[in-house]
Amino acid sequence: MSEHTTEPTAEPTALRPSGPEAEVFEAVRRSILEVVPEVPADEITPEASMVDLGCNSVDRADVVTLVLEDLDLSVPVAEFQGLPTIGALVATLSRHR
Amino acid sequence: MTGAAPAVGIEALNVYAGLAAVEVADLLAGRGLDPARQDNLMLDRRSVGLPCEDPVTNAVNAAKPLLDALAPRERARVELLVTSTESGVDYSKSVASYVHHYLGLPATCRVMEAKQACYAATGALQLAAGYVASGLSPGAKALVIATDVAVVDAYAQYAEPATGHGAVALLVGDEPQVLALDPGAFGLHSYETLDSARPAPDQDVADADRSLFAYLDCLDRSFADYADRVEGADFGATFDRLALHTPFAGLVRSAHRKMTREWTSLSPGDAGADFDRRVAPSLAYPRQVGNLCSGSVYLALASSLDAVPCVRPERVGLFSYGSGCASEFFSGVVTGESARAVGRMRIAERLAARRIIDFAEYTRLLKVTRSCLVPERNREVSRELWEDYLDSGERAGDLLVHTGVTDYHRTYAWS
Repeated sequence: MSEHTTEPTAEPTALRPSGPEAEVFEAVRRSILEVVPEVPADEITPEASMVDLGCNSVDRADVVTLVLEDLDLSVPVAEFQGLPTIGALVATLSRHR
Repeated sequence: MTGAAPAVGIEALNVYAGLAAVEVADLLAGRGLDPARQDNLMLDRRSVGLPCEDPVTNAVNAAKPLLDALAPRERARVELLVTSTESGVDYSKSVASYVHHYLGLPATCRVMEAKQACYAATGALQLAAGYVASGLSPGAKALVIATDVAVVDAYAQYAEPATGHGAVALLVGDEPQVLALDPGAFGLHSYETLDSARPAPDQDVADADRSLFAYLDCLDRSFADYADRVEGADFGATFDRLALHTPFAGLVRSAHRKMTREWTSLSPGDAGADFDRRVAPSLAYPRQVGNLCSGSVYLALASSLDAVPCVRPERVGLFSYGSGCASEFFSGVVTGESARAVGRMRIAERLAARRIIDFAEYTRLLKVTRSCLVPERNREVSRELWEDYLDSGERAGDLLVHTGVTDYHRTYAWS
């Protein structure tokens, strides 16, 4: 048995959702990049919050508006206020599909 | 919109936005807030109250020039006075009771105060217009005054630079030179939420996301109700101008973007040009004053008319939103005479005449003005301390100043 143990050489890549939520996550990612193009794409993860990514309150409203249009959903934007993470936004959007 | 309905609406409009202002960049720097956010707020400066000003003086100072322009027999026909405010000075006694006295309005007048955050002035306008249109008292006039003061401090973060100080007075009657309301053309959307509130006389609470999202939903839903009531209503084509409640101009830009995406087929580029043409002129004054609460949509209307005077009759779409929440989308017609009537009030000149103060002076004033609504049995406001503000700038005549409180009775004097 080797005395060497396998250690990760870098931070693990953030996981992205698969299945039905993957399409919604992609729509959210596209909308965030459209509203705040300066955000590095790989920082948009389910665990991240839009506040952490530098989105102010108007940006957050713009993202929700865009993603609803992208997914062809007609839901009051008030349903999406106060969600802590992008993953929570994706889950709420998915419930309305 | 039936042709048979009598013309009713706003006969005259004036804005009073105080005697002092602070640059938003200085306020952000003084509070250690991110200066990059100024682009998002779309604010240049905001009005600042003085210790000798309060909701009563703001209301009187906004309305007096309108009444001074009336003949005595017209003044005698002011049969309804409503002050709309979220800056009440007493749980029972209204701001309107003081305003009624200092404006010298007739005793034969209904006097009352309305509260529904930033919406109440529009509710009062519509009820007043309904009274005038009812024909129960032909030729009657009503005075609706939206008046507020800022009580926010550093705790409010980015809401502090967005909060204004002042009043807008609307004379309502059957000779609506400023805005002839389209009869029956309105849409409503209201529901209970706690997005912002004033739970104590010196404390505002706000949930920015909840409030922004409620504003956007209410604009969409109240316009949908308007479109159900008004045949052929089209957000992109029906209105030559738009004047929206403006908590800060950046929100109005976002709201316009959302509405054009949902209700028109304009491309993003064309939507930008549409914003510049129909909306941007309404934001010039709000960018200089801050949020005037329920007067804000009428500050936006005055801004639109002063920035781009109309040369032919034009239809204006207006949107009023008040936290809590209540909202209304409605419309009216403005003409060249509307622009002349608002222009005679020299609003731009008086805004430019405000003294620009630095952050240190702002915080010195705020120490006193933040408690202007806190009930006290006795209080003295030393007018001499603020004399140099009263003597500065251009004044359209006498100003009412707050001099104190004696046995709970607020006292005032003409300066």
